[in-house]
Amino acid sequence: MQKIGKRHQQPPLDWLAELRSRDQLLSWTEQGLLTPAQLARALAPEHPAPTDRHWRAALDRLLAYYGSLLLVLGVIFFFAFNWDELHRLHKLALALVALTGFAGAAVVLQSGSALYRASLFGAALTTGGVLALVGQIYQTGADIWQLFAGWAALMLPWALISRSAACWALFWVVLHVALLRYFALHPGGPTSAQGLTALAVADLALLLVFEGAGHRLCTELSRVLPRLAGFGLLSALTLGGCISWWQEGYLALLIALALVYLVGITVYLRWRRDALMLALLLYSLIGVTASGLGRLLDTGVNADSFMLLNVLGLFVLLTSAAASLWLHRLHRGAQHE
Amino acid sequence: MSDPKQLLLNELCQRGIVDEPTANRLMQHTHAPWYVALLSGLAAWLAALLLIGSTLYTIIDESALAAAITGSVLLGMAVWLLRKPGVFVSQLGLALSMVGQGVLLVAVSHWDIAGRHSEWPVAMAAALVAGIMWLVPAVMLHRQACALIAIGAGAVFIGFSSWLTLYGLALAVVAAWLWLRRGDWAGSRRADLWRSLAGAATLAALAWPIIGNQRWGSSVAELMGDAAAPLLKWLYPAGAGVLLIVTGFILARAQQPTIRLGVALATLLLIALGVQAPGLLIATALWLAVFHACERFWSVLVGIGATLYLADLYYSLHITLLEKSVLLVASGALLLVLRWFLLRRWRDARAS
Repeated sequence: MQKIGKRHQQPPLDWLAELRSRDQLLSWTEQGLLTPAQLARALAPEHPAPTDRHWRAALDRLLAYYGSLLLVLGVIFFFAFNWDELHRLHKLALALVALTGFAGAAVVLQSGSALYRASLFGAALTTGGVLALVGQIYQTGADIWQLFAGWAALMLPWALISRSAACWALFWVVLHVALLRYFALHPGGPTSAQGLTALAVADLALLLVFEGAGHRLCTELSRVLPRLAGFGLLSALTLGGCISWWQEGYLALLIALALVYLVGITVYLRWRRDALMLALLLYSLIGVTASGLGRLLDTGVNADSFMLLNVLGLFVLLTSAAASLWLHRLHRGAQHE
Repeated sequence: MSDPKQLLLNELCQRGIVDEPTANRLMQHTHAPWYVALLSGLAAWLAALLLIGSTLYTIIDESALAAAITGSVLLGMAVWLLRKPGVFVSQLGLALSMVGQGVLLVAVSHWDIAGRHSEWPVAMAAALVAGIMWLVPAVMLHRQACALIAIGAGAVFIGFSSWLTLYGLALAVVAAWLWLRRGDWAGSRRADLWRSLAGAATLAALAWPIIGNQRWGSSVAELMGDAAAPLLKWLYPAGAGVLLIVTGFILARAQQPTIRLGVALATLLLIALGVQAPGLLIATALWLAVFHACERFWSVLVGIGATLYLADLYYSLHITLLEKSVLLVASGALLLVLRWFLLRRWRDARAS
């Protein structure tokens, strides 16, 4: 009774586990698997609704992050207004005051607290605002990819200090925008073999770092960051792999993808069980194989479009049904272990 | 045995709340994780499109009768599949249901009952078919999709007028009310229906301020000479404010008077600031209601919806960027002050 209803001296993220338990109990009741009386007994002496301690933990984070986010956005909107009457040095000074304010707040706040991490997240966002303002005032002529690349580089210290998943996720987004914008200037765009290779290399590097030193880079014990990098890596390689059946220039990406399948499935099945990564790997494999089958039917067998669509549909149907069954079994097995 | 669900079941067994066979049944009744549902859903949709698309195009052509028969057959197959267990089968059922509903609407459109290609018979048919399919026992995603279609059809039925803002507000009220009452309806026989309606109404209420309010909901309606536009232009932010303050009042009822007073003051200030950004007020009210319902997934989704609204706010032309900047800075500072106040009061209360 005490575990679900009332827990004392709990670790920081236990409130989330408690909420999950409450949600699970309510879901079972909704499905008719538990009676309302059983639900009430399970939660007694409390009610299904969150208690003060849940609200406290949630509002601590939510108000800190959204408060900081709104402040930063207010600053960015202000500079986007491009007030003519305000001297450029005053604008720059204001931006630097905002940046210093966020960084300074982190110095005085308790390290690791929600507000400390939210302040550094604010500093990371404001860094981009300052760079954009410098470009606006001095008309540096820099391309947008340079702004984002500079932002990614300059926000790295904030992410390292904050050890916050939100900061690292922002770094991942900014880095990808920089790469995408850079390759948008080149022939073939970001989906060229070079562009996809660069994205895959960046994500592979991030994946290795997050898997190897994730606990040092982020205080939260979630797998958001490696999964984000894994998603990026597989997206780039899968797109390249699908195109490789039709264009020879992408062959290296297909070979790299085959290696990723071999290593990835072994690692995430045997050593570091992660069903989400396995799901991404399997469905990527289905997509690339379907693309290869399409190429074979189109040019090898010269099938008409009706047959092509039906064979491909059947292939996707059967393989993804098998994949989802296996993944579901894996998920159930993990629950029983 | 670190799985939270297994731990929870062990605890329920130890406390004698459920017996072992029930615990096993609960364990077997495992939903697929969201990513498996998402990926297999995408695959099922792709497969259904590939397999059915080319065939449908050949069969239906321009015949309304053929479209009606095909749509009905597809819906029949969907109902059969949706009752079967398994992630992929249910996703395929969902895909067939959506295609079937679409084909039936093509038939209604071909018949052109009201003449002059009027939209309302199609909207009525969409609401009717989606409403019936909503009642069919199926996975939650199917019920939510059907509820969303019915809500969308309702919007089409209302037409291109400022009354749509009132409709959007009503959806937000329904969503907040349902989430706030989750503990009460969880044990009812229609719990699945309420839950799907709560989800669909939440999505629609979040999307409304982004796609509707400041664009065709008010300004275009005014241009078209809609007499109700000037009134409804204010009704939406005012309604959003009332929704937020009522939600806050319900949730803070059990708190100390000082906390209630502080929350009420902060809410009123937030409403005053958010009059020009009613989407933030709606998102705040919905987040509070969803968190009260212990729904982690929807809490995250409402947070994402609020962030998207902020991105949309940048481009809206109803106020200048400078005004928006002041509004955002003041709101951000207010949230931080509210955080400081609440944490301090709670700490004091715990210490005493």
